[in-house]
Amino acid sequence: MSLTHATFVITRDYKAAPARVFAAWAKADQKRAWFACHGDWISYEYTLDFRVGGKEINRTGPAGGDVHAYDATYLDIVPNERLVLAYAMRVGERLLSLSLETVEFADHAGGTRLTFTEQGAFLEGGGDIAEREEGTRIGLDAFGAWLDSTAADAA
Amino acid sequence: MTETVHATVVIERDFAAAPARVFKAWADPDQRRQWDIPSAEWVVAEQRQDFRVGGEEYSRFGPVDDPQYIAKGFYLDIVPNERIVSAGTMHFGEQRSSSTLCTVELAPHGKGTRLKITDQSAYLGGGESPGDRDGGWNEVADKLVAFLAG
Repeated sequence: MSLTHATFVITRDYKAAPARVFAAWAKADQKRAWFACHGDWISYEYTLDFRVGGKEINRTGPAGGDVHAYDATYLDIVPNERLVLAYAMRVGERLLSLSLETVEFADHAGGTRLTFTEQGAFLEGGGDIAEREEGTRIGLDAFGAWLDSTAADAA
Repeated sequence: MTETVHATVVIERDFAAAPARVFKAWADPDQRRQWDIPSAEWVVAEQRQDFRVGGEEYSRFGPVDDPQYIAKGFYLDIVPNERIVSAGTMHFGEQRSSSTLCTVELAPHGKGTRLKITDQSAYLGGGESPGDRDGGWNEVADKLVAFLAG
C-alpha cells in the first residue's frame, strides 16, 4: 500500500490576543465548541487531556454513516505560544493519515497570528491531502467566527 | 517567542536482505539497539520498545560519559515487513528539542529491500537542526547496512 508525505502551512490573523486564542485550543469545553461540531453531524465522543503526553479523542460522523475518528497525543506545549501533537484519522476501520500538527500563536497587530503546520503521511496514494488542507482552512475560518462570536457575547 | 522550524528528511538505502529480515532489525529490541545510534563513539544507555500500535519506545543515548539524549515515542501504524510509523519527541536532558513523525517503509527491490525513512519534524528551538537530523539518520542507516551485512 502506498503512502504519500506532504506538508501544508495555513496562516490566519485573529483580533483576540494570543492568551485568548490559545485558551480556545487548551480548554476542553472551548475546543469542543469549535472543533468537535460539524454542522448536522453527530458528535459521539470528545475528550481532551491538554498536557504533554495527554490524549485528545473526537468521534463524529453523519447520521447512519461511518464514524470519523481523530486520535491525538500532545508532544509539546508552550503556553500561549505553541502546541505540537501527533494524530491519526480514521473513517470506519480505514486509516486515512498520520500527522504531526504544530500550531503557533504569535503577537500580531494587537491580535494573534496563528500558523498551522501539518506534516502528514497519507495512505492510499495521498488522495486526501488537498481535502485535508481545504478542510483545515474551513475549520480555521470557522474558528475565527467562533472567536468573534464569543467576543461579542463577552461585550 | 520560541522559534519553530519544520523540515522533512528522507533517507534511502538498499539491502541484499529480504524485507522480513530488515523489518526484524527494527521490530526486535535486541537487534535494534545494536545499530540504532548515530555515532561510532556513542552508546545506548537504555533502550526499550513495546512493538505494537499504541506501544511506547524509549531510548537514552550519547557519549559514554554523559548519555543525555532521550528519544521517546509511540507506534501509530505497523504493517509487518512493509511499514512502521511512529511519533515522538527528542530531548536533551529535560529540554524538548524536536517532535517527529517518522515513517519507515520497506519495499522488495531485486532480491533484496529498499528502505525509505521519512522524518517529518518540528524543531522546537532547543539547538537541534534538520541538518543534525539528516546526518544522524545517515549514520544510523549506514550502521543498519553494516549490521545486516555482518
